[in-house]
Amino acid sequence: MPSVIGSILEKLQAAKDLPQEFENLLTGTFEVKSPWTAVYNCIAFAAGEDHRKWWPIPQEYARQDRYWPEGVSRKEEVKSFIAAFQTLGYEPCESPELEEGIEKVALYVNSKDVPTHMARQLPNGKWISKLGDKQDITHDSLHQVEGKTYGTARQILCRPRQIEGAKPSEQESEGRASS
Amino acid sequence: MAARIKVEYTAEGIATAKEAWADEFTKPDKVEDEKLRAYQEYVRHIADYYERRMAQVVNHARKLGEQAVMLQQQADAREQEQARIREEECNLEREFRALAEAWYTETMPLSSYVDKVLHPAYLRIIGLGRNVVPFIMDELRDMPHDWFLALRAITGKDPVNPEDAGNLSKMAESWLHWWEQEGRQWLAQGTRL
Repeated sequence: MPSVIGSILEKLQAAKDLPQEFENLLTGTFEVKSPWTAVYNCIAFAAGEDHRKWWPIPQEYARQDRYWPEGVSRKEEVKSFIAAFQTLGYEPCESPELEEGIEKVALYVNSKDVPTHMARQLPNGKWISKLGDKQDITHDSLHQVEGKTYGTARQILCRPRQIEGAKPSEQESEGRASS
Repeated sequence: MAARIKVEYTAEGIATAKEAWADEFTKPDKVEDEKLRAYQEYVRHIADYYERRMAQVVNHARKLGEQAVMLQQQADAREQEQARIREEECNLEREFRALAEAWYTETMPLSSYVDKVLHPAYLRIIGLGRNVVPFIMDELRDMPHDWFLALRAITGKDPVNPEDAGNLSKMAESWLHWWEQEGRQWLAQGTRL
């Protein structure tokens, strides 16, 4: 008998599943950029990694299940995420607009101000998000993944651009998967 | 054949003689009598022996019969137990698959670790106990995913190198290695190695 995840992925691929959980996605264009994978998450992806998951876990017994920068608070709160990205050279800033020579990431929070998601700005001004264990997508605005799943974009973080251009998987292709 | 003369005396001392041949046929000889008694004794002994042996054989046959019935009952009970275990395993696998599907699909868009591992389906899977470990290994073989807290909770083991924190591919490899090296035996023995 195939594994449960195998069956699920088979069904979703057959149905050409698109992210259904994001009610504002269709307010702009988006493009699916990767297959499903649980190997990395949105925080790691915003930090430029795609081989492990990042998340602060306060409990000692579960810490090894997620990477979190050494010495940074493991409380599940906004300032821990800011501190984690400060280790990468980011600092809080205001505007989500594209600025020459500046890389930006955005932190989303739910109604209790608990972090839920991060997106990274591409050199063309679009944003790229890893949707949990689902696909990576590019989207025109931060608002497109706001809603009941990720809440709202709460904090922008900036640093001088270090990643020149987008990775091949992040480059724009012609057309769009859905709109 | 010369006639044998037998002399007998009366109480008055008068001796009479007569041919004794008739006694040869009408009175058993003492020796023959003893032989006969010996034969009779022997026959009785043989008869007793065979009677006892027969009783023993019958008794043994009855015991064998009882043992055969008992063995058949034990075999039937074992078969029933195995059928019950197979049925339980099928039920367990069905329950695991339903819970895993709910967990995967409902937590898939989420990034929060806490939201994933506190999902009711995930907690219920931990509650199903040690016999779901083979199913979790099947899942890890197909796609590394957040099964590690459940595995630690169920097995009491943690084969993951701390340096691999958050690296689900390496964590899955460590658990699958543990499964091949120790896990199957751990499950079969029903003890914590």
